[in-house]
Amino acid sequence: MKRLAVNMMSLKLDEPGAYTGALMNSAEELVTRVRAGDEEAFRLIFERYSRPVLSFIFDMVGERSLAEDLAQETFVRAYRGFDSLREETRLSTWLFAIAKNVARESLRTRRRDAGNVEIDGESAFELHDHARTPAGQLLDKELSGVIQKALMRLDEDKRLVFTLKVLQQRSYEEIAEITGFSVGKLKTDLHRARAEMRRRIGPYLGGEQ
Amino acid sequence: MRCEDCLPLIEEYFDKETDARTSEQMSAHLSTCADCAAALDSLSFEQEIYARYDRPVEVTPSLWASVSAEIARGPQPEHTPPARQKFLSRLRDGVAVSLAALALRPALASTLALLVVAAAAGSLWLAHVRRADTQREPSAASDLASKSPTGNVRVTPSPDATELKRDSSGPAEAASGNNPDGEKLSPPESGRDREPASASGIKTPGGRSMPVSVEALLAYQPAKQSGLVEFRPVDHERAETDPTATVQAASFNSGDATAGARLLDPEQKDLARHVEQAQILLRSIKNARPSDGDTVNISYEKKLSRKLLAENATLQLDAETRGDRDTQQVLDSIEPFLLDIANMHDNASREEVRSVKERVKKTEIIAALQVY
Repeated sequence: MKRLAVNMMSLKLDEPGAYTGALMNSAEELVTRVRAGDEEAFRLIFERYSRPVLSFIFDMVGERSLAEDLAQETFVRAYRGFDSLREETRLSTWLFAIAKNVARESLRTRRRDAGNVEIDGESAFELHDHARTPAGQLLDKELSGVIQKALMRLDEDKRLVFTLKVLQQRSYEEIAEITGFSVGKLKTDLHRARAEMRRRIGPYLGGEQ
Repeated sequence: MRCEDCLPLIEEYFDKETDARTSEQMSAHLSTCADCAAALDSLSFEQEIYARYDRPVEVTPSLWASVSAEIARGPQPEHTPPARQKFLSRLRDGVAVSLAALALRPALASTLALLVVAAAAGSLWLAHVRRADTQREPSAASDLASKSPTGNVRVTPSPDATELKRDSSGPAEAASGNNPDGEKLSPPESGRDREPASASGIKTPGGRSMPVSVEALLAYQPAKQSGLVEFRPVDHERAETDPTATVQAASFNSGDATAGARLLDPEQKDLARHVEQAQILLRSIKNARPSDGDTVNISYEKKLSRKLLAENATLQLDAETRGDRDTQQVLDSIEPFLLDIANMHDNASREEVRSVKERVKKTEIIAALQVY
């Protein structure tokens, strides 16, 4: 796979039209191949999308092993439901929509089993001391931990749109398609999610500004 | 435009989701209003912080192995008999009606509630016993796999029912007969909750234990090399000699020791993250819209590309030191895009951005980076 990517990119970048049709594994083609029963094509789809899908699910559920299980479930459902994919070009959006369903089902089950999602007791105020740490010394790991905790404190809808927009850089149109939310709702949720996240990781943001 | 009109739209503007006319008005306002410009800068800064978010997850070889094994097993049958569902539904309705009638008689209601709880506990216990009985049979497949001296199990579903046969010589294979539904394999067990009894774990270099299904274990021979977990597909010669066999699990598993395996290498983690961020940057540029008639605000993208450019240079040196030519080539391919974006104005001209967008599209570099 790595070699394939390298081969694709080692084509002449500056030659106009050099890449037209050069990518043999476009989403459309992969979908067509999977529908024709080509299992290797599904493996390529997995390789291409497993990382963003796994990251997205992790952002939603906040547990590594659970995220891995749910990513597995996502790809299994995708394989079994390939016929329901209407537009080949929307493969990525479709996969994220499945991942969203899988993650939300899991969160519902977990809520039923153990009440609300466990929220870490650490408050933004307790993080205040870290804010004095110079930006260069702020370990990404520590910052990532803070972001993840803040994410998990968002309610599900807000976490969903925040993750898709801010962390996955999806357009509003794509987010609306993945979540089934109206653009109005997702804008409101996104605005509130940003505000909450800002409040929770504020000491870090303030420390760097 | 006034601040009270601009500020509510600032996030949309930052997300490049405002229409051309609004973008133009906002751009004009932002160039003269320090407060609104500061709000935009703060969004850009936040985005930069979020771009550094590093999740403790990696795609491992076992993930694909478990996906392919699960697919090879086929769809799962429904375990809950409809009759039981109906019974539970009737019970629920009955309890609701009774409680409504007894709402004004607390003493009697509490006694009845206790009785209902006891009855529910009893029925749950019965259901548990029943489920255990129904699951005993499917788990025989896993038992066969774990007890077989060769570890080979051949599964051949008949049109009416799935039957398990022990294969004394060949490698593990999941063979599907003439299933009219086109299902690859339909053993009566399903999901993660029916992890085979003999499933074991694989230790990653980080010491994390990852569950691997029986099929995955049978299809691979683990080999340790340079601290990495690697998998080698077993010889499927047996499958080739059997014309009726659909070697579902085997074909899904073949050649999957690729992306996941290299991601286990801690040295590659920074590279993977760098490539992911480059992907995000290029996606962001691809989605960029003109903020007014002639310009596109790419201040965030510019800042990110400068950061990535510095990282790119470091990673290129590392790759050169390691003699990793593949990685060098990938980084070399990213660099022109990073340079172009880093050298643009904050409010780049539409033509400049279009040129980068077209190259991103033409080279399909985002897809290539995803594959990488």
